[in-house]
Amino acid sequence: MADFKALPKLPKGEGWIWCTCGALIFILLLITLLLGVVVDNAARTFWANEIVLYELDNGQKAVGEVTKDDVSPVTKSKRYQLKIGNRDLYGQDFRWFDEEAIKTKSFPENAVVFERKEHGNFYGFFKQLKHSSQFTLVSGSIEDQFHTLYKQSKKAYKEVESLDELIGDLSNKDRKIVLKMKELDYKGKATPETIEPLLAKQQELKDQFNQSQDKRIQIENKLLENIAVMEDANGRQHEISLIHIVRFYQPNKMSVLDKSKLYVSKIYELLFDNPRESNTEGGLFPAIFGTICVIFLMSITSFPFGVIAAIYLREYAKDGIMVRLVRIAVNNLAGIPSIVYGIFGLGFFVYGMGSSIDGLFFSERLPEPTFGTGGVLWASLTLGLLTVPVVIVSTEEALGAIPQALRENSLALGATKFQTLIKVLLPMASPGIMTGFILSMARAAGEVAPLMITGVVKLAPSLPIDGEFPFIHLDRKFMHLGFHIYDVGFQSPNVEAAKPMVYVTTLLLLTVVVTMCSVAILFRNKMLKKYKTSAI
Amino acid sequence: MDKKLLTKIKRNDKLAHWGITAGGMFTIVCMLTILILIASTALPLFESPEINIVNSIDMDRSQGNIIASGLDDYIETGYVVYSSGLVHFYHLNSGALLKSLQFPQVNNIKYLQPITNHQYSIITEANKMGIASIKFSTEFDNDGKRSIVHNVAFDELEFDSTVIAKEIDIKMDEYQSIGAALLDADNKIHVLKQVKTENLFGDETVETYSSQLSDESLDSVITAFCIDDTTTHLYLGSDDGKIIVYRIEIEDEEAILTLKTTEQVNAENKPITSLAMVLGSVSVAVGDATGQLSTWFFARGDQGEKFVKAHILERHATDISKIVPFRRNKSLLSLNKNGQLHIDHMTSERHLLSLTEGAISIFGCSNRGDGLVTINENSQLDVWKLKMNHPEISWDVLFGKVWYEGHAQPEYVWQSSSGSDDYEAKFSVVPLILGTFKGTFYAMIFSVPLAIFSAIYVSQFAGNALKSWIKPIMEIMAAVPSVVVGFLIALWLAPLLKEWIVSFFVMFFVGIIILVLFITIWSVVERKPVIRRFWKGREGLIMIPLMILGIYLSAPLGIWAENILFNGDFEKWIYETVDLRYDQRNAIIIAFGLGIAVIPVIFSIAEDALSSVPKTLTAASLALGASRWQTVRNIVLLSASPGIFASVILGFARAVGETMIVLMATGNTPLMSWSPFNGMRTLSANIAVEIPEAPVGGTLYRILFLCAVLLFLLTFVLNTGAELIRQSLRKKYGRF
Repeated sequence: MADFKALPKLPKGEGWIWCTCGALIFILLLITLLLGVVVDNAARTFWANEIVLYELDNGQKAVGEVTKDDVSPVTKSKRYQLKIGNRDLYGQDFRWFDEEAIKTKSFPENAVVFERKEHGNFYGFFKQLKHSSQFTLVSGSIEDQFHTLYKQSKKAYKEVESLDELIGDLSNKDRKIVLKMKELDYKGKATPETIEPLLAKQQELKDQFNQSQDKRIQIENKLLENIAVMEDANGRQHEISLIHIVRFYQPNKMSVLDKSKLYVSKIYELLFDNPRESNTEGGLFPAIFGTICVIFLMSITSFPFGVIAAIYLREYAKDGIMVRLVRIAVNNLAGIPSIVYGIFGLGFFVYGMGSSIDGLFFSERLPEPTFGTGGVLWASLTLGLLTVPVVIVSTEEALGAIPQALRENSLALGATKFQTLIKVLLPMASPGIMTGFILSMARAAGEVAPLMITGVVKLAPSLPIDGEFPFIHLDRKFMHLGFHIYDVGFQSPNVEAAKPMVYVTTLLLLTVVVTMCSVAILFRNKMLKKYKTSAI
Repeated sequence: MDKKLLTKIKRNDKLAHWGITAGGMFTIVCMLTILILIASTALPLFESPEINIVNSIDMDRSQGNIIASGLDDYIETGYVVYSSGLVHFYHLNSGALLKSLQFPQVNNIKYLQPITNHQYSIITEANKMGIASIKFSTEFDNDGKRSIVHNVAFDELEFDSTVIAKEIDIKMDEYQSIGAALLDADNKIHVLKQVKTENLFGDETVETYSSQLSDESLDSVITAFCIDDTTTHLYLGSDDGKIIVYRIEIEDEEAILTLKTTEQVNAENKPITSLAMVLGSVSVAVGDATGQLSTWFFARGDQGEKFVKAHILERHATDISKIVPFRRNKSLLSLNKNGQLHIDHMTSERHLLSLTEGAISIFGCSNRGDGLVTINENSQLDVWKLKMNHPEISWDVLFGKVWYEGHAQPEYVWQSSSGSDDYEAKFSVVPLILGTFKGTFYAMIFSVPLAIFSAIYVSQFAGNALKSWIKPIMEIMAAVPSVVVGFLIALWLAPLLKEWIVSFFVMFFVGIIILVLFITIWSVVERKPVIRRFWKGREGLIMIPLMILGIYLSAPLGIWAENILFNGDFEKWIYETVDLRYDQRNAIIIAFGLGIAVIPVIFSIAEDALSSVPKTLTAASLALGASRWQTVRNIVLLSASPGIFASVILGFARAVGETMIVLMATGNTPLMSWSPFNGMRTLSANIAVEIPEAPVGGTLYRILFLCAVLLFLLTFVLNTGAELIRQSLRKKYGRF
């Protein structure tokens, strides 16, 4: 200590520097923590957890996955939350067990998890198999028998799925004929000559529809006879039809490799499949598709306008008080709350333009609105308005960063203003403009509030782009990743069971946005380096 | 050079010039018209009502006195009732007599009082009492053409035939039970209640209860009376300006009247001339001989119910002879002795219209409230079209305290809708504005120090490597979708904080103590130049474990503190001691959520401002012997203060407009409280919550647009201010 005292006194206020550093570290820790929570929860969602069997003091038994453990506020002892599934049997997905009440814990090898189309997961054990006459059982253990039977029934179910598609197609066609007749009726051209063939066609469709429907029911009924008789922890028997099972596994038997395979298959389902069970299970494909659609449509509306406005402001408009004011105003528009744009979109696009379009072109369908209700077009246009200021600001900045000398050189060499713009300025500014594009796309990807009131829905029956003529349906409602988070996390009947799905969606959305932003930032940094060298 | 090519290039250049100018201007004009379009949707809220005369028709005077009149919902046909019981139906546009009908069993009507728009309680010369109703039914023929079919009916009310009735007021509730109050020739009040019950087989039984007010209980002469729709209250007005309220209860097959309260209406002791129930049957409108029109109701306070004069409407010139409530909203039509008609809205206390010409004696209005017929002293029937789209809205309703039905005192309340039509919508935007500022305020407390301190560290003390990492991280943080933040803080942080709330507060103390301890120790250790040189710019390496240590320490310390200070349950403690309910989704949660959204905004701009302070200034300060911190505090912060101020304003604007985070994590209850343990509802979340249920063009729809205008203006003004400050700063230092 002695030699420290001999040293010179510290400069004043060093402590404050530590405080400033502390603030920064606090923010970074907060971000890391939140990010960690998302990644941790999302990553765990698809991992096949071990299934535990609790034997309680009162003789009851329970199987399920341990989801949480904490200290009970009542008994002050440790307790475990088990996902017991079997919603159709117990009415709830989760249950708490006090450590003290548990007599034994074990991990039975033969425990099975069924992911079902309805009622969530089933946890239990095989008891017996019942099968229809169309399939035969192989000899072997009940698991092997189940395997083969399940494969067969899944294969046979494909026919039902293709029939479903056909039925959907037929009802679409029928709807079109109804619309056509309405249109004829509305225009006063509804004569027997025009109506008769349509009616005949409608009848034909109806016949086909009924036939397919009958066939579908027949096949399905046959398949429904394939039943796995299961047993829950307490030996209660429960019959589950094989076609209602989406996936099954026995986690206590699986190796890490098997579990990884399952993990990958679940991620595949997430990205490319439709949601199940009011969005709390299954895939996100429609939401991902909807998000991409909206971003794409927004880009093609907002980018050209934004860039032209910026070029006008920077290169063509005479610099003066007006331009300065406009610049400030445009800068500010970037900071206007998105909900304000949303309500504008609702009032102006949906109820204003949409209703007029309906009145002009789709009056035969009224009062059922076509464009007079929220849809992918209006949502994209609203987002477009929201992002135009961002594009203008970044494009202006990029153009402004180009040294004046370059413009003068080009003009001095005889190029016109337009040629200068096309050949010199735009190529140089392109990285900056691209950055603006990407940033605005990232912003659009994350915006939910304006979409909520201009056409996003929790479950859209069909995609905005599909194989049905005219292929792009701008009037359709759509699903969106961001809204999916809000809806599933806050509006679903069973929030606790839906949470894992929300975490996964969150991670997906975060990944998209962060990737876009990182790319934009890399772009910009590259551009900055380029200018630094060219300025010398 | 090729001439053709040259002209082509020149032409292209011209075209591009005009194209870009047009396109650019178009885009900019489009963007700037947003505010105008939103405002134009909100503006009709403040339109003043209009009344236009449609037609005047001369009535047939030979049939006797006209005692009532009315019209249908389409303002197509109307009727007049003569005292003989005859009803004439007219086509209002042409003035043609369509039909003439007589009320069955009714010969001469002695007394008539409106129940609803086309229903009247009447007394005939033969002392028959009952409900006379005029029915309009709309029919559509095969071509979809509309025709209106008229009919009249009379339902007699059985009552003791020895009582000679002078005046009567009959009411019906939604179950068709009938209540009536009547004044007999001896100025005695009788009350009658008929309860209809239907048994399992659909048979109806009618039970009748009646009662009479004893003479001794009344010491003044009754000049007006009415009962409410459910027959639970009887209101009497006396000749000395008192309003007397009786409660009607049915006990043991008998209707019992108990005196509830007596209140003086006017100081001059002038008689009360008219009483009527306002739509919804909660408030009673009182008109007296001084021309004062007021509404009264029972306010539920801490000391039980109190009968209060809640609203005073536009004063009449003389005695108010008749008050008729609108059936559409809480507006009132009132007529005075001079034949002047007023239309006022109760809640907003707005005087909507006056008809002062031509001494009106009889009037009636359509169910929709958009048509009015009046009959003046010359037996001329005037048909009017009313345009009052938003009578319940006034500046005071939106921004002032309003005394709503049943409330203990005037309050700021937002409660937009409920199931029933007669609900008094409460449209005060004050709780929303307060909620917006509350959320923003707590967010700023949390984020401003953190963001500015970090900006100071990154711009002044951090090493280059750290700097090149932090800035992109902050930019990415700014782009994190707010729905993600909202989800995390509402479903992950909120339950966690509820459990660890005391530890959370303890964390700050622990943090300060650890920091102070560390700095004292370090100030000794750091005197060695080697150590100091090594840790310069690497302070974070020590701070990370220190922070984590602090958080770990505060968890058990929090439990300990909760046990000692708050008897082991903080929520119960604040509820019992300061009467605060702890909401899981509260302002502290919002401070975190909005903070995460706002920190990168403040940080980026403040950091820019701080690093653009010319190096010459800092170098000069250091050269003169100031320490690093002294330089920062006295030179850098001062020079960059406009920029830092601008950053705070921009952060504020961002927090004000944030929607998803508050929507998800506030609970969305429009409270008037600054408590950090309660939620709130902000303007932006209000729009998102309510707009799906707002009918287009309705009052709520327009108010939500008004909310958007407020948000727009607020953020626009804040952003412009910040931008101007930044520009002035730019001029000052000539860079960045």
